Amino acid sequence: MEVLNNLLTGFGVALTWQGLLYTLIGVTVGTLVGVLPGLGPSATLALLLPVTFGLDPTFAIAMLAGIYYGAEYGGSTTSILLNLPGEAGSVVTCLDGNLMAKKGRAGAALGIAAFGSFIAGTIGLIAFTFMAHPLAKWSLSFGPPEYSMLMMLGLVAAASLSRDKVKGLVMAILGLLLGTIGTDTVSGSERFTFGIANLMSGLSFIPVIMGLFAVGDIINNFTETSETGASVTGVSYRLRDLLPTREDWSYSIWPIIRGTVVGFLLGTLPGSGAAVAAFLAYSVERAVGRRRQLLGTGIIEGVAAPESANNAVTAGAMIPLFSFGIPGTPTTAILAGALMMYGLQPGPFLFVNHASFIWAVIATMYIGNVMLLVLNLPLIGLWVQLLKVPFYLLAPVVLVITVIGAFSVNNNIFDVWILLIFGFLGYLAKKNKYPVAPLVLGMIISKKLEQSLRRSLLMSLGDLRIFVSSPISLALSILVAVALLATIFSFFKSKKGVRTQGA
Amino acid sequence: MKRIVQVRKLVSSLVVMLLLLSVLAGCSGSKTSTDKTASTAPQQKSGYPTKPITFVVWSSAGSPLDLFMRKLADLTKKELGQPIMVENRTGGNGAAAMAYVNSQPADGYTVLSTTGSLTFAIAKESVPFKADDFIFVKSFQAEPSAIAVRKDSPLKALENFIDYMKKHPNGLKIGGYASGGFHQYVLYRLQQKANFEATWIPFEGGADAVTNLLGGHIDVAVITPSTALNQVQSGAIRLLAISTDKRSPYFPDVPTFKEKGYDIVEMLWRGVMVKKGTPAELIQRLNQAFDKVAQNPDWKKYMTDYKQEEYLLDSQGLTELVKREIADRRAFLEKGGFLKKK
Repeated sequence: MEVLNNLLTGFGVALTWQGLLYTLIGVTVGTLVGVLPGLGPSATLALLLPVTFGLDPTFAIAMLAGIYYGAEYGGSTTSILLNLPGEAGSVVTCLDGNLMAKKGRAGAALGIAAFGSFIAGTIGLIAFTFMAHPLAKWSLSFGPPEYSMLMMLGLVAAASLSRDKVKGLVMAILGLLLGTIGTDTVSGSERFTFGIANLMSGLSFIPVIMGLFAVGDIINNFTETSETGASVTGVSYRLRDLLPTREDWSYSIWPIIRGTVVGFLLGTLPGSGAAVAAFLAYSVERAVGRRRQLLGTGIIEGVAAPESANNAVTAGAMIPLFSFGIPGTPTTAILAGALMMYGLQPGPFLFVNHASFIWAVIATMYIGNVMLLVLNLPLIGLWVQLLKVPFYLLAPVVLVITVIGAFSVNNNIFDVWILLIFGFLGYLAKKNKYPVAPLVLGMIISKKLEQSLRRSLLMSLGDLRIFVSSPISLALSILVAVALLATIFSFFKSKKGVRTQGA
Repeated sequence: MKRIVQVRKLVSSLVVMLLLLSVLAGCSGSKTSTDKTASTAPQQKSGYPTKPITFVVWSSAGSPLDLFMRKLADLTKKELGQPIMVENRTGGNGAAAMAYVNSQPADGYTVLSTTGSLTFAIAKESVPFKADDFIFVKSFQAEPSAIAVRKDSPLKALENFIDYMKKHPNGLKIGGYASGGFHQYVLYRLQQKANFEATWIPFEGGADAVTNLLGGHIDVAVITPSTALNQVQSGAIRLLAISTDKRSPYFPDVPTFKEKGYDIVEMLWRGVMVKKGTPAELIQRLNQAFDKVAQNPDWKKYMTDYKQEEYLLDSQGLTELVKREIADRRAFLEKGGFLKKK
């Protein structure tokens, strides 16, 4: 009950007009940052850090945290409307989200993304409020062998991303290979850099995904002779007609809950990130969802699950920061820096020495989540209008946004070339019906998987039993094996089906 | 008609968003130039600086090096009477930023961040530059490396650790940030002096190594002690030895390697450098300003808040240190097989 008491005191601070104002500024900037591709929350936080100096620390941190979780809300918008993922976490949302938009259901997709984000964010916060301690313990139990198996599970999930398993596999392997570009952190040697200094830290991720999805799509549209552009007609633009229907809700509610659990648990693990969570949430739907066969054709579950997952990650990621003082993501690292700037040492002592501060910040997060929902729902009406813009007007604007976005990640023109090269690759893939999502997943997982594997083997001096020696890694190994067998089984079954049909 | 108006509205709102993006991305430039203090600060007769200066940072916004450069820029602009922009140019372990600074005139208006990791990069030839391509202006701060174990570890002191390793070669799982980097180098120095064998498990960051230590996945971590500040203070992590010259004010209970009889004093320093050929009087002018900054109470507070050790070396001292470090690190990298076979 002490927790509730503390939280209520926190709300006392959060509900003052300054508390509300700075939270509102934070979540508004966050939404904007999420919508704009390329400009990520970590860069924004770093740039705004000096501005917050002089503010009351509670309000400053409330604002900065608002940018962090607000950005995950906005991330879905361009994915759904323009097939333009601005963050790694919203790549999966493109798959069904953009197809929904093309069917004239952009409003429902955006709506469920907003509601799903709200629900996930709030459940995540409640879990964070009441279960931070046991969850912190669970996150510590993940060492290199456990991560290896977790990433293996993610890799198996690649199969769930496309209907054509063979092409999906080809792209996933290509992604794995692309992920090996750069300096190998185990041996310190360079791989596939061809002496290009810009490749030494690997391919920048944002230009790659923007290229594969948005630029590839645009080139493809230009080559199609059919009438493109404002293809969606006869759709009502009244907000009430845009929001998810009762039917949508009945399909989405379980995916949202499952996505939240997956996202939150992965969020507590430092370094696994929003993207892996979103991909895993999607593959969970592929495995157990009611309409699992229809995933990838533009159904609402395909938006609800990953969008809930990537928001739940932000709440989960606060746990390592506040329980150990160890940030698990680049963005929480900057939050840690901000706390230090105010002389507040991130970590468990915050709850002891600065209890009123920390509970006030947590309270603002609850309020911020409500604000984000209120802010984002009316925006849907505006966003959907974008689809009325003819393609010949929209395409150049999107291209400019992607180029600026790619450049602004590192202020490096090299990334613009990456964007264009991958745009062309994305076009080739689209023309030949190769799915690009498995490639992205492969790229995300590649580095982490390889390093965890090699680290585990360094730890065990080459003994493979390390992967089944702890309860968690054993459980994950079994899960990987089952998922793999199920995939292979269903592949041969469907192949047989096709063959008998053909004969 | 109505549709066209709507379309136009949309396009224009997109343009506004674009502008906002570029303002955010172009960042602190606009902020610093409107700073009032810039115009009221004392103007130097010599001329330099007569226009805004750019500080280039080779790591991403929000990193410790970035925070260092931003704080330094903030305080230096008051001394120099000119605004200072901070630009992040990441890529290629600093090579992208170095190439950019090299493409600018050697007029003291482009100043680049530098750290002790540069000497690794030069020794490893992983950047296409040599120490002579730059003039090292000043170092300000440094962080040591320390040997850390969990609370429940039977290793109570450095001696226990070394004895155990001598009896059981590769017997403990030892890890830390990066492969062939600073912390592994410190362990290597200890191995050389105490004569034991160890396998190094590289992690992607110091924080990563600390959580793995806490979770019992490794037995010993070699880390920057401030990474595990909470755990050191609460006693969850014990530091066996630290690589400072004298005991660190932040960790007064932790003995130095030197005290324990191993002459290992290694610090990962941070400072600034400029392109070679920059006139000596400009460097002197910069150094004057930096000297004042280093004494500024604001600066001292920042140093304490972030648990940084003061490490002030002037141009000459820093250049000598860089030369020595490159030679030492090359020897370490050769021994560890990190150098490219020629």
